[in-house]
Amino acid sequence: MKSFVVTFVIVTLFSGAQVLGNQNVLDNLRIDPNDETGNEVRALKTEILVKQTEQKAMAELTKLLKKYRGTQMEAELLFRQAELYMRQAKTDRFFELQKTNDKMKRLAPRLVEKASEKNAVTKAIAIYDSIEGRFRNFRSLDLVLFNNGFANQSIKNFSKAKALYTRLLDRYPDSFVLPDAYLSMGEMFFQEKNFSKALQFFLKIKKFPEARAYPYGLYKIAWTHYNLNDATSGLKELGSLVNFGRSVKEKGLDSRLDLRKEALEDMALFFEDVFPASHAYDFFKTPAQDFGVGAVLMRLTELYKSHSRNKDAVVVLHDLVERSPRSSYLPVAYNELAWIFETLHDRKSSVVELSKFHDICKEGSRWQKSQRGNELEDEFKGFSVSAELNCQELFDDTSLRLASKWHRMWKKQPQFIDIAQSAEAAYRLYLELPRDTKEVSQARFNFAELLFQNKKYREASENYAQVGQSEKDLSLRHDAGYAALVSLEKAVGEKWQAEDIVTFVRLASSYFKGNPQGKFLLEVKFKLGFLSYEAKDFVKAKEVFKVVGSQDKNRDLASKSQDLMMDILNKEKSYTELKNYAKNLKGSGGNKERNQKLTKIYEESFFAEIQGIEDKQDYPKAIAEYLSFSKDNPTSLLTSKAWWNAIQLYYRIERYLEAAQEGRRFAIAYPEDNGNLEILLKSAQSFEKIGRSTDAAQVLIQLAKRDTKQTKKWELLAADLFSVSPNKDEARKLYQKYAKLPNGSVDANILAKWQLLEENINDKESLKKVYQLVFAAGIQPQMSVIQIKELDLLMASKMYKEAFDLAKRILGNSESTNYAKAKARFCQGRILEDEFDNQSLKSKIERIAIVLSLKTQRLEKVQSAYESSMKYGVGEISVKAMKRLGSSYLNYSRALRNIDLPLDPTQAADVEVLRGELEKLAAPMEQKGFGILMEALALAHKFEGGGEYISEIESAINQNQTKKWVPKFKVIIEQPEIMVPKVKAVST
Amino acid sequence: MRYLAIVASLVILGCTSSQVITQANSEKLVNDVEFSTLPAANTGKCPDRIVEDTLKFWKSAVILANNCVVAKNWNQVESVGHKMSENFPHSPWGFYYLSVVAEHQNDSSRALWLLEKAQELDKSIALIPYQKGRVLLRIADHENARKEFARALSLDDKLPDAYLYLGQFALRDQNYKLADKYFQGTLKYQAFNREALFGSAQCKVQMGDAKMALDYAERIISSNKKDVEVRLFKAFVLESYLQNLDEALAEYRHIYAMSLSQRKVIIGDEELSNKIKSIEVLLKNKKQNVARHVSGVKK
Repeated sequence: MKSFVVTFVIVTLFSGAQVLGNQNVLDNLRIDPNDETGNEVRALKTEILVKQTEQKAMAELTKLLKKYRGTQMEAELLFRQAELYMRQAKTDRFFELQKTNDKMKRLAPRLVEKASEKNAVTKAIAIYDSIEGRFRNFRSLDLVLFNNGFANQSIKNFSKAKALYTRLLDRYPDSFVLPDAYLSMGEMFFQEKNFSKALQFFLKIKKFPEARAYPYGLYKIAWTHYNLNDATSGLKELGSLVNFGRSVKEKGLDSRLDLRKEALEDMALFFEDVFPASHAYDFFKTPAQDFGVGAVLMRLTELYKSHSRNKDAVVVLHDLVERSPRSSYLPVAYNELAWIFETLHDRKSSVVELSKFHDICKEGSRWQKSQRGNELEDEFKGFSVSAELNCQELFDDTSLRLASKWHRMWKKQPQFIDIAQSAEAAYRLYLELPRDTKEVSQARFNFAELLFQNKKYREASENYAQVGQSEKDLSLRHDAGYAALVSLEKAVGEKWQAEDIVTFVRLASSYFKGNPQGKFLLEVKFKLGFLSYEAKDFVKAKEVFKVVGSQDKNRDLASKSQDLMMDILNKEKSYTELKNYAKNLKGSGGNKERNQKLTKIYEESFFAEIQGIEDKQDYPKAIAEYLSFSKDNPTSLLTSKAWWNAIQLYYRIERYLEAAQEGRRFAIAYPEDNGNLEILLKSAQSFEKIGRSTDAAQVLIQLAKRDTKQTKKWELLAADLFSVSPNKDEARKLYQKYAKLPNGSVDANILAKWQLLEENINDKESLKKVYQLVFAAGIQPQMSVIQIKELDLLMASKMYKEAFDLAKRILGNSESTNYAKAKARFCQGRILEDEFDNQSLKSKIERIAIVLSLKTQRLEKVQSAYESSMKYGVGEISVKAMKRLGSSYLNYSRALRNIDLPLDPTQAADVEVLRGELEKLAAPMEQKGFGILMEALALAHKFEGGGEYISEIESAINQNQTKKWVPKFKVIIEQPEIMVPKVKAVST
Repeated sequence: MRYLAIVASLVILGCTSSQVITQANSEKLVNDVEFSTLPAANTGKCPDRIVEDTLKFWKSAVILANNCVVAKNWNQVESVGHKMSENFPHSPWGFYYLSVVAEHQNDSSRALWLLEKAQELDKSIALIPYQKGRVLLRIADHENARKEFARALSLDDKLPDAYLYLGQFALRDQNYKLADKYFQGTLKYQAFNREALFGSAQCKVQMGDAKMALDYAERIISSNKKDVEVRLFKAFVLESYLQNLDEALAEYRHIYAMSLSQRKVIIGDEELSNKIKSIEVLLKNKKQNVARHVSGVKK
C-alpha cells in the first residue's frame, strides 16, 4: 500500500508536470531531425522540466518523510528518495555533460554549474546505506542492496558494490534480482579483466532462462570465453543466444531479449579467430537464416578489413556474391570488393568488380528483378552493415570516387598507366547510364580530362563536347566547350580531313552559342580561320582574320591573324589589298620590331603590286607607282630597286628623257650603288639620243666624277657634246683642261677640236690662245692653216708688208704644208703684182728705157713669185697664179701700147720710132700673157673646183683677144631655201 | 670636213646607246609627208603657249613646228623639236626642227650634229641631206654641200632648189649639159623659176640652141620686164647668135632707156651707148648696101 502511495505521488507529480505543460510546450520539445542545434536546446528544456519535476517530487518526498519519520512508511519513502536521487543523477549527468558546451551554459548556467552525477549517486548510496542500517526488516531490502550495489558500481566503487551484491546473493538466494546481481558481479570482474571470475558469475545466469538478464548473460559468457581465448566456446554460446533469440521471436516475447543480431555480428568476430574465410558462408548460412547470410558476412568482411585481412574479405565476399546472387547485400558486397581490391592496389580486379557491380545495377538485371517489391525490414537495420537496395546510387558513388581517386593518383604518378586505365574504365562505367546532373557533367569532364591526358584526344573531345553542350554551370560549360575544340585539334594533328573540319565548326558554333562571352572566343575564331586558311578557303579565312586581327584584347593572336591575313593576300597576289592592310596596321601602333616587319611587308607588297602592273604591261602606271614608292619610302631597301625599275621601264617605253632624268637623280641619290655607272652612262646616251646634248654632257661630267679611272674619257666626250650645245664655254674649259699633256706637250686631236670650237664661236681672244698653243707645239697642218688665214686677213686689209713677212715665215718653215707655202708664195706674188701695177710708165722719152727696165724687173719678180707658188702643185693656187700672171703680161702689154708719149711735133719722128719699139715689146708680151691664160684655163678644167675660175679666165682672154664687149653673166650660186616636212592632205 | 669629224666622235656614244636601248616596233613617222617651202607649209598660227596634247600626235606636231618656223618663233620651234624627239624617238623630225633652230642661231656644228642624228634614224629622207647641204653652204663648204644636195635628189627629186644649186654650180664649171639637166629639174616643178630659166638659157646658147635660150629669156622677161640682166642676155643672143640686129638694137635701146641702177652695175652707160652706136652703124651700112643693090638693079 505504501509502495502504491509513493508510486502514486511520483506518478502524480509527473502527471502534474504533464498537465502543467500545454500542447505548445510539447511541440516545442519535439525533436526535429534536421535541426541539431534546436534539438540540443529542446533536450535542455526537457531536462530542465524534468529537473523541475524532480525537485518538486523531492520536495514532496521531503515533506512526506517529515510527516512519516519514524514510521514504517519512512523506509519506503527513503527507498523512493534514493531512487529519485538515482534519477536525478541521470539528469545531472546530462547537465554535467553540458559544462563544455558554452551555449548550454548560457541558457542554464546555474543548473550546468551545479550539476554532479556523483553527488546525486552518493546521496542515493547514503540513503540506501541508511535503509540497510536502520530498516533491517524492510521488505525490499534485497532491492536496496542491489540498487546500492548498482549505485556504487556506477561510480566505480567496485569493492563496495561487490560486497553489497555478495550480501544480496548470500542473504536473498531467492530474490528475483539474483540474475541481475550475477550479471553485475560478472560485469565488474569482466571490467577488471578477471574473466575467469566473471565467467563464474555469468554462467550462473544460465540457471535463470526466464530472467531478463539471461540472453545478455549468454552474450557475456560468450565474450568472456572469447576473452579467455576460447573463441570456439564463445561461438557456441553465441549460437545458443541466436537460438534463444529465435525462440523469443517465435514465442512473441519481449524483443529486447532477442539478441540474435548482436550475437551474429559477434559470431563473425569470433569466427575470424577460429575458421578460415572460405568456411564463412557455410558457417553462417544456418544461424543467419532469418536475416540472410549477407549481413553477417558483411560484418565479417568489416572485421577482416579492420584486421587487414583483405584477401579473406575477398573470399567471403566472392562467396556471398556467387552463392547469394539475390542477396540485398550484393551491391554492398560488390562495393566492398571494389574498394578492397583498391586497398590491395589491384585496380584491375577492382574494375572487374565495378563492372559486375554495374551489371547488377542495370535496369532489368537479374538482381534488380529479384529485388522487385523488396523492402529492407527493420530487423536488417540492427546490423552494423546495412544492405543497400539503391544499387545504382551506391555504384555511382563508388565508381565515381574510385575513378576520381585513380585519376588523382595517376596525375601524381603518371608513370603508372594501369591506374589511368582503371580510372578510365571506372569513368566509363559511371558514365554509361545517361543522366543530366551536375555531378555527371563534372565526372564526364574529368573523364575527358583523363582521356586528354592519355592522348585519347578524339574521345576526349567528344566527352568535353557533351559537357559543353549540356552543362548549365557557365564555367564548366565554357571549359568543356573549349577543351572539346582543343582535343579535336590535338586528335587531328596536322592534316585536317573534311569531316574533322565539319566537327570543329560544329563544336565552335556550340562554344560560341554557349559562351557568348567565352574566354577563348578569339582563339576559337582564329582556329576556324586557320582551318579555312589551310583548306584554302581564303574567303572565310579572311573574314575571321579581319575580325581577330583588328581586336586588341589578345595582341599575340591579333598579330598571328594579321600575319595570316597578309599571307593569304600574298598568295592571292592581292598586293594592293595587302599593301593597304599592312599600311593600316603599321599606323595602328605596335612595337618597333612589329612595325619594322609590317613596313617590310607593306613595301614588298607595294613593290609586288607594281610588278603586277608591270606584268600587265601597263608601263606608264607601273612607272608612276615605282616612283611614288621611291618617294614615299625613302628608307626602304626596295626604293633603289623601284627607282631602277621605273628607269628601266621608261627605257622600255622609249621615254628616254624621263629615263635619263630619273637615272641622273638616281645616281645622285645612290652614290654608292653598283649600277651607278651603268645608269649614268645610259642617261647620257639617252639624252644624246633625243638631242639633249647639254644634259648628256652634264651627265657625263657626273659619270666622270664617279668613274675616276675614266674621267678623261667621259669629260672629253662631255666636251664634244657641249661643243654641239649652247654651252660651248663648258666645252672650251674641258678642251683647255686636256689640251696640255702632263709632259708639257699638247694633244693635237683635242687641240684641233678646241680650235674648231673656237672657230665656230669666232671668239678671237680664245682663238688666239688656241693658235698660240698650236704654234708653240708646231702642230701641222693646223699651224699652216692658221697662218694662211692670217695671211688672208692681212691681204684683205692690204697690210702687204706684214703679209709679205708672214708669207716669208711660212716659206721659211720646212714643216709648213705645200698648200701653205703655195698660198704664201702666191700672196707674195700678189704683193709684188701690186707694186708692179702701181709703177707708172709715164716719163720723159729719155727716161723711158729706165722706167721700162724697172717695170720689167718687177714683172720678173711677180713671175718668179707666181711660178714658185705653182711649183707646190696646188691646183687652185696654180690656176689663180697663172691667171694673174697672164693678166699681168697682158696689162703690161696694153700699158706699153697705151704709154703716153710727148706730143711735141719736133719729137714726132722719135715718138713714132719709140712706139714701134714699144710694139715690139708689147706684142710678145701679149702673146706670152695669152699663153699663160690658156694654160690657166686648161688647168682650171683639170682639177675639181677649178670651174670657179674658168669664166674669169675666159673673160680675160676674150676681152684681150677680141677686144669686143661681152656682157658679164656671173653665175651667182643661190642658197637653197629652207624646206620642211608637210603632212599630205588626205584625199577622199 | 672638220664638222663631220666631231660628229663622228659623238656617233660612237650614239652607237653605244643604240646597243642598250632597243628600238622594237619603231615608227619613224615619215609616211604621209611631202616637202614644202615655208609659205606653203604655213597652215596656221604659232601659239605663245603650246598645248601638250598637240604634241602627242606627230602630224599635229609637224604642223605646229612648221607654223612656228614660218613665224620665226625659234623658241617654240625648239620646244616642239625637243618634244618630238622625246615623244617620237624613232622619228627624225624632232632633230630636223632642232637643226633648223641651230642653223638660225648660226650654230652650224650643232645643226650638223642634229642632222646626223636625224639621218641615223632614217637615211631615206631627202630633206635631211638637203638641210645638211644648206648648213654646209653657210660655212662655205661647197664641196660637201654639193654632195649632200646630190644625195638629197637621189632620194627625192622634188627639191627644185637643190637642182638649182647644182645647176648653177655646174654652169659655173661650164659643164653646160649637166647644168641644163639640173636646171630642167628645177623647171619641172617651178616652170618660171628665173634662175633656172636663165641658167638653162645660158647652157642652151653654149649647147648651140640659141632659139631655146631666147625663148627662156623671154619667159623671164614676161614675168619681169625690168630684168636688165636677162634683157641684156636676150639682146646679146639676138645680136651675136641670131644676127637679128634690129631686134638686138631695139632691146639695147630699151635697156638703155630703163636707166636703172641695176643695169649700170651690169653694163655702163658708155659701154651700152657704144654698143648701140656700133649696131646702128652696122645697120646703116647694111641699109646703104641694100639701097645700092636695089638702085643698081633698078639701074
